[in-house]
Amino acid sequence: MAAKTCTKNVMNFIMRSPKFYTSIKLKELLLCRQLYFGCLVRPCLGGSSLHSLPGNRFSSAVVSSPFPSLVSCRTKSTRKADIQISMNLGVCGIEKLEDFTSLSDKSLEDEVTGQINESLEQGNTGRLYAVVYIRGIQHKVTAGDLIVVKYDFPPNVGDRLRLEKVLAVGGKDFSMIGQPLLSRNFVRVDATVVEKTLSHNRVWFVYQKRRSFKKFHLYREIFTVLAINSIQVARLPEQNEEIENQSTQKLE
Amino acid sequence: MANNAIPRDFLKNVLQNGMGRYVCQLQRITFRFCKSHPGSRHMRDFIENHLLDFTQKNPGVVVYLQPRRHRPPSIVAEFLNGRRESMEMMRKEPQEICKWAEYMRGRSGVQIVNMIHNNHTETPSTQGIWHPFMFRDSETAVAKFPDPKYSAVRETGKTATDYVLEEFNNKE
Repeated sequence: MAAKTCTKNVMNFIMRSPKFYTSIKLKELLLCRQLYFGCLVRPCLGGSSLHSLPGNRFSSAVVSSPFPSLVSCRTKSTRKADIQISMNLGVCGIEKLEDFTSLSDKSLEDEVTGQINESLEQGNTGRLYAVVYIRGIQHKVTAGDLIVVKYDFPPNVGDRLRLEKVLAVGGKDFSMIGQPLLSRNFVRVDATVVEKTLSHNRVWFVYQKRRSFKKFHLYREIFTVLAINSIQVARLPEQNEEIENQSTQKLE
Repeated sequence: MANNAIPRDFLKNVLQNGMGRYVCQLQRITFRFCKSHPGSRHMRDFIENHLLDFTQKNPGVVVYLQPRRHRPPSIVAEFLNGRRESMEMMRKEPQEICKWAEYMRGRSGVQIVNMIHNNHTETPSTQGIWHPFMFRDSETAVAKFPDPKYSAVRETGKTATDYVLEEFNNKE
């Protein structure tokens, strides 16, 4: 909790000083990808949305500040991780991160990809699961699951999303793990925003004995509930195909 | 209050909403206000200026206006699952009322209680839940202890004692 207030204070300070704000915003605009996840600069929204609800204690800064687009209301570690990932995921950077593990033994690699492809073709994969990264937190999901994304999350109710940061995908008898991400060409996780609510009243009570020091706060967090619609995995490229593709690319 | 006295519940999706298409769970919303009392000044302002925007954006929601003499203004929302929620709008500005109306639109109608888990799944594991004997040889299940095979000292690398002994032997 202390970390939250700390970040908020820091952000308030930055908000008040226009120089800091412009420099940071420009920097982040350059780095930021136009994804919902991991974005630091929130897209500007209309007046009526959950983000600046008066009940939310983080929103007071939003309403009063002259620059409503820059908000931080997450824990320190989450934010750090998020920044790191979104820095790595610049528009040109994402391709580098998407990679499959290349095994040292090439015949083994061929065998594994062949087996996975075979099970995909025959439909023996069973129920697929995926590990998805949203706002600094990893969720293990299958189709039909519900996830809660805490704090402010721009998509509105009824929006369909494609969760692009997929860390791992697996079936009944195989699992693929990205380094750190899997390619968007092979994996697709779709979700729908089902609900945007506030949590119940949570108590933040601070007390020091023998000091007549007491704080009692009630606050409500913003929850966004996502329903996972589907997880799809495409056929993996095999060794021969890859070589052919490379040759054709070179030719082109 | 004791922690177990606070009502808790799991995460719910009303009628598997969003699995096919998304259906707005808010069915009716009633804006209650007084025509003359200064307490519902902002509510009257909201009705004059912002209400039509809300109705145009949400054609699936039925909107009622209910004037009540000398009573505080409030919003009443009725959801598809039959629940009904009211919220006082005293001393709330038109913009704030807009936001609370939007909040009601985003709700699924389920009562807000403490959430036990922040995810819900019908199938917790596809590959089977791990247990300590998962990738072990099943021979140990049949073995009779004490068994010389399992009670033998496992081979390790060169220990410190070995090293010292070796040094000692070399010196001799």
